[in-house]
Amino acid sequence: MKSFILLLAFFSFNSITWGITLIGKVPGKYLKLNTSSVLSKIVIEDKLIKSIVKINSQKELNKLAQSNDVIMLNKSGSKSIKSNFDYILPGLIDLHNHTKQNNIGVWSLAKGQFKNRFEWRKWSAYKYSVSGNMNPWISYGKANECAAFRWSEMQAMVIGTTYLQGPSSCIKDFTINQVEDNNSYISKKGKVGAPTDLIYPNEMVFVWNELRPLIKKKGDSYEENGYEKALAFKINEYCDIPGINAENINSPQNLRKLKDKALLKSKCIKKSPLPKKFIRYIYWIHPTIASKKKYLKSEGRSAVIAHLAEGRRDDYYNQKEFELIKLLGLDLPGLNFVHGVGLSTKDFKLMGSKNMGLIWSPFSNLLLYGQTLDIFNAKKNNVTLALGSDWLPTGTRGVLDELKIAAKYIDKDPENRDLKNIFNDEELFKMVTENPAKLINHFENNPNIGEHGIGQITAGAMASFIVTSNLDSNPFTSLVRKTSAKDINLVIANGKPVYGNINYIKKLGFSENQFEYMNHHIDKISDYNLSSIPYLKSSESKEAKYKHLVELASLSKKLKYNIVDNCNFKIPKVLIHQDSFSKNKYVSQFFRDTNMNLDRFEDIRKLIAINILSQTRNLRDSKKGKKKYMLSTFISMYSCDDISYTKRTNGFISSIADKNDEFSINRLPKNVLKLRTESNLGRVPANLEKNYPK
Amino acid sequence: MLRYLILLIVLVSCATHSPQSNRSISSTSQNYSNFDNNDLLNLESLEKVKYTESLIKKTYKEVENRSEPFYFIFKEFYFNSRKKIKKLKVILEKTSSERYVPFELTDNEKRQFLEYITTYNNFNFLNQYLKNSLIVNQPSARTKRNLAVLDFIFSNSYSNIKEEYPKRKLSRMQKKLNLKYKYQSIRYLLSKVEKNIQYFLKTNKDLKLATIVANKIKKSSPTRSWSNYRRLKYLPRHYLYQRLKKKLSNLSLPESGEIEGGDRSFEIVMSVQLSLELIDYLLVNI
Repeated sequence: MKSFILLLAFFSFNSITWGITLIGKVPGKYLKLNTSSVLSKIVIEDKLIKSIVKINSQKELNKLAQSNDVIMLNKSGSKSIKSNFDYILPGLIDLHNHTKQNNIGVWSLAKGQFKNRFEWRKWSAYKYSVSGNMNPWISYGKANECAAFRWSEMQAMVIGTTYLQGPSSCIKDFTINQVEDNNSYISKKGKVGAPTDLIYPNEMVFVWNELRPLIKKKGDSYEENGYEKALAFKINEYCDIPGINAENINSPQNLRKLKDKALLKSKCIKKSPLPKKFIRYIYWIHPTIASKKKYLKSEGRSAVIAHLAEGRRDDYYNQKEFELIKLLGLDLPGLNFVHGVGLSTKDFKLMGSKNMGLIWSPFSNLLLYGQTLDIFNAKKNNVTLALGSDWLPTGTRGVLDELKIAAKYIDKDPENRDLKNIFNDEELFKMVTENPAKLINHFENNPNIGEHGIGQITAGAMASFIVTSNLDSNPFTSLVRKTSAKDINLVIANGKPVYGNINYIKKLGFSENQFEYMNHHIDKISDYNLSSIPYLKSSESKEAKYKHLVELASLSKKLKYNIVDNCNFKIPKVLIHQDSFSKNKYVSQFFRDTNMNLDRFEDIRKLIAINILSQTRNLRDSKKGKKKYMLSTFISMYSCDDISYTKRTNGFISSIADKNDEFSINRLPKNVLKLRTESNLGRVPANLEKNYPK
Repeated sequence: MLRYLILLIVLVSCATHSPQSNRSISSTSQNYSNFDNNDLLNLESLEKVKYTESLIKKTYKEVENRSEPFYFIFKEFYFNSRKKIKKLKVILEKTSSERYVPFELTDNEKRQFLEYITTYNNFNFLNQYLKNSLIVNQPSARTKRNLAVLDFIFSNSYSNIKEEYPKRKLSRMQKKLNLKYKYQSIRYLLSKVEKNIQYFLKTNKDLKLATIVANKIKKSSPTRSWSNYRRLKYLPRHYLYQRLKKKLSNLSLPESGEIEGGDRSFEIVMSVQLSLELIDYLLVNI
């Protein structure tokens, strides 16, 4: 009965109109002031920031402090205007993440040796390092996928991310917001689309070889509506399907015709042989291109995010991907590219003029290719830049960590472009707040028309923000250069407190049974012989896998784990339990079967840990896996508990002209050549080059 | 023994040689028959099976595009053949014949051979469907050459088997085995459909429909009873099956934000649409 009342109280707490008032320092620009920061009162109601007002005097502060509902955001709870108030900043936005594999640490074999993304994806050592550690356990049941996606969410949340892009499922109402989920916004705009690729290198040969000669005018320009004209021409040349022309080829009626396999087979016999990949292209790829164009041209669009030109700047194929975008006529406002390392100044110029954006992931680029995006020319040509963390195997834990790498890259300025003056700390701050919000078309804050912006602290905007320690008089420098996980004191996602320092969480009215401590880390199973834990191969039936997973879950609760706490947070960090449990059928079913609650940090962690430590191919399958690639420890939630990650990210790029940092070593041509020769790399980029002749 | 070892090395290198090579054993029918007469025929049965095993394994490892349905069906054949070859190797240890299927085998041992051949025939049957499909990628030239060699080996093995049984008996046995492996393929392909179906069926109602149809298939093992066989055979006429088929035909490429990018999108769509097409093809021809 007692627990029922508690449960009822918890549900009603989450569903009633929710309001809080916070006092902290806010960057002056949010109050249209020239000062770096100002002490302000922020009122939150439901999912929105109701008001933001500057506090001018101690008297005003004293008056506010009389109310029990007001929370002073400083360590001691002091009511003095002179005390060191925390910063209230917009929640960080990460537009680039692959959320399934963030339980694997940074890939030690990535040393800048690859030419493009297709090369490492095909490399056997990569497959062992990633697939060999993610399989077969990830397919044991939806619960494991849920746990992996929720892990990623928490990993981003503890370093201040409130909007995370990624293909997650099973996360509804868990903690932070998913960029692609329309429920993350109060807006009338369409859903953010985030396919990894828009350009499929194996399929676009048809466009390159058959359509390009028809589309290309003199020089480098392309004919208006050229793609549709060329495709309609080709279809009429080879197929007897009446009524298809450049103007109507993308109409729903004609797209249905092009998706009719039987029709294509019977009618595309006018001439033979058919061009390579012709039918496959019009059947699979063209409808995707047509739907993206329709979306990008629609009034209510938000944006599309896709990987493009990921690889070295001098890789031949990498340089061709933007040309393919132009050939397809996809160079449209609202299309944003992730990586874009192979883009040229000319490409930036066009992108800038068309309001297309870029998501920069320097750590991932420098680890894999030894090079990164030409941010100097991108910025010069008015391309809006945002930061993305990619994924942990070749990236960082979140955009807060990515900011550190970006700042060091800018300080180092390897191409002597005076980057420091162009990308100051405020500019970097914008890359994780305002700019990504603009790229996905959710910066607009106009409550009168039902649009509530993100990436800002403004009345009417979504109440997604973070409270961080005040480590510098400049709030941007404080965040960009000095803030780490220990300084993220409160995270509020769409008005919902999800995580923070226990003192703040208690002040917000949460009691011990509503949150959970996240402090220590478990890195190993300490009391058990791993090989005695049952193992199941991927070929087993769905039912057998689930049964096995249920047994593993039950075992994971009994095991003893090696506990590590290198972070030593002075004030404990806690996760506030949310009401996502009942909203997800997999999570609730799994709870009924195992008593394991995937709303809880501890249960998520134990479930992934037992899988990663005992159920990987590398560890258990001598034929399909390789022991040298197995993971011997479980990844930590916080980077301060992950010594190898901290060492690698901290030492990766030194701001000074140090030739011995990993960044510099990865760039040395003789090192790259040596690694490429040793690993027998080269076939993939060579084949791509062959498929796309000049 | 050394002679056989050298021959084996030559055969393996021939079968996997680059497309430009003049030494390729199957780039022309003339070379192909030369290879047959001069090399493979002289091997003992056991060596022939070992050679076939290595060729199947090599072909499996070399399939480049793993998101394509060709890979799915070859993978199934690879695992089936592995099990059969393991048994055949034990059986053939005691023989010294150069026939594909030695005369001296017992009835049960010959049956093992027939089953082994059926696994290949079943793969070939499915591959015929894919060969005619304009929307799937065809395997590489190298894979096609390997398949030609496998065709040759299995057709010769079958010729040997044919000589061993009266026509009617063989036809009866074969029918049963065909049924067994076709149903096995249906179940295998069904598991592929089930794995990714949520990308295309979003409502509970649709998912329930898929579960009902899947259960109908799972509960109708045709080798168990005549009524099961009939239920399975006539399933394509069932309105629920037809409704599901309509919902899962001519699908669009799904958006995948996963690291494998476009390959993953194709893997998802192929494992649902093409697996279902292959199931349909198997059911119609069961």
